[in-house]
Amino acid sequence: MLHFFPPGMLERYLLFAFLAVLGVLQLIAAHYRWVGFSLPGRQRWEWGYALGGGLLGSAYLWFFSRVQHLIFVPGLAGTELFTVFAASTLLALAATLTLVSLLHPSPALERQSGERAHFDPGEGTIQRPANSNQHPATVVVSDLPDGGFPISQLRDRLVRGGCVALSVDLARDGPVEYPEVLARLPAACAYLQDQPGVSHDGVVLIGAGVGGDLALRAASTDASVAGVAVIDPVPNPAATSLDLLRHSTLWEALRWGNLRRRLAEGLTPIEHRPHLRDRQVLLVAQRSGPTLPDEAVTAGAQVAVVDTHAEAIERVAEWVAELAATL
Amino acid sequence: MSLDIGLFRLINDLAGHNALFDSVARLFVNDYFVTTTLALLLLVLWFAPGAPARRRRHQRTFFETALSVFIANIVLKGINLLYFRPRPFMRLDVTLCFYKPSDSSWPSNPATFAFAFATAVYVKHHRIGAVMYGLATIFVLSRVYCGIHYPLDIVTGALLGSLTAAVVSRSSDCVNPIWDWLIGVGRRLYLA
Repeated sequence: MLHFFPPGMLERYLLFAFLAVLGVLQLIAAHYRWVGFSLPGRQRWEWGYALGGGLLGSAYLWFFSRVQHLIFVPGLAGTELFTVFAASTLLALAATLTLVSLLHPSPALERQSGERAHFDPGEGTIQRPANSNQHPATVVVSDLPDGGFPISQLRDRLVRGGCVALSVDLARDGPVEYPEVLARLPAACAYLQDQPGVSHDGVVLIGAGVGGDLALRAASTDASVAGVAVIDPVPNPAATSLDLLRHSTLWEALRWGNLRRRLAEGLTPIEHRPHLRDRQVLLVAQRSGPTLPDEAVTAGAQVAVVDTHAEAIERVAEWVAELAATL
Repeated sequence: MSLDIGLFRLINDLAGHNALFDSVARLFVNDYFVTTTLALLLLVLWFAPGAPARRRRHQRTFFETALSVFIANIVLKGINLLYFRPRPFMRLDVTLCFYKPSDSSWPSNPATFAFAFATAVYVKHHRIGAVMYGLATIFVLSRVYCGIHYPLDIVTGALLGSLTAAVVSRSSDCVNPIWDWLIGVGRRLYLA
């Protein structure tokens, strides 16, 4: 099928298209902030632009200046060009996703700056302010995979703001399915309220991604919850497949993606939204996210659209402080 | 036909006088530059973020574009079997900046390909589609500038490609289940 190619052209065009696709994928990763495609790594978007632009520019420059003697001779049929381009695209995609998975594994096991907390069912990390006053209680739930949002930074910020913070990790002590997962947050809330130095005025739940779905669902049935803050909830689990590569590598997506989808499908936080009318709700959506929450999710809630994780953390911490002052 | 040759003369006579123009034309006229760039733009469309329905529409466009190009190519081959128009350099004294293709001049194969591509995308995504139309236009004009196509060849090719893409896009309801199945496979691999 490829007999029309001038000798030497097949491998040269394959290399050209491979490098060009690799460059375009890096530009896409840098522009849309996609961890799963970013060869320079998480948050190094400027390097991504430089690498992508460099690869794309070099590929074009090399091919159209050094391979001219093969370009300006008869030979190529469109079908062949398409076949070789498709092969190069698949190779570049596979190389990018594999390399990113190997070079930048998830920072899943975040540093443990607090003490381990064991409740039934579940485990977490608890952190308290230094003084012995009564402090507002907050429970923080991570996403799956948990490298997407820096939960430990949020916990640190809440503690600096005067809260006791218990983070619940959905993945650390093994996968948990729906509906068993529903028991985790009530158990965490009960554990937290039994701790010394914790105010009994109500717990504030904060969740990221599918952890946010769980927080919304738990708040709809737990009267001890005073408010819920949700960061990038999962309103449409069936549509979030590619979006998982925004904050995780392909390896992590393959490992946790199905569980995340099953949890989001089971939790259906939108359906349970009406039960939260008397509770304070904050929805934080990242502007670069897959989709902003629609009206069904935002009804009666405060909504904040932010650009960075740091901005999201600050917005949640301010909201918790305002809420705690009213309790 | 004399208008066609007149227009050809008008454009082709510009060739060979300005080294910069000739270099730019040689960059665009070849079989690789524009075609590869169009394919890369289609890749960007596949990964462009957005609400689920919008993303699905973009990803369907990916397959609709491939189908449009495929059908347009079949129609073109059929026309080529029935009618052969000699290239300008076979009949006229032209300034040639490219190799001598041996297939029929009418309708233009690159014009059919590039305009099928651009129209299929433009229907669903105006911004990327407009960039593709720009590239396609420079591509086909460079074919006349370099002496390998008459203007009528490219106009007919562009119409054939655009019409095919518009028909494919209009009748997309019939094939959407196939595209959705393929997108579903991509979703299972976290690539759609």
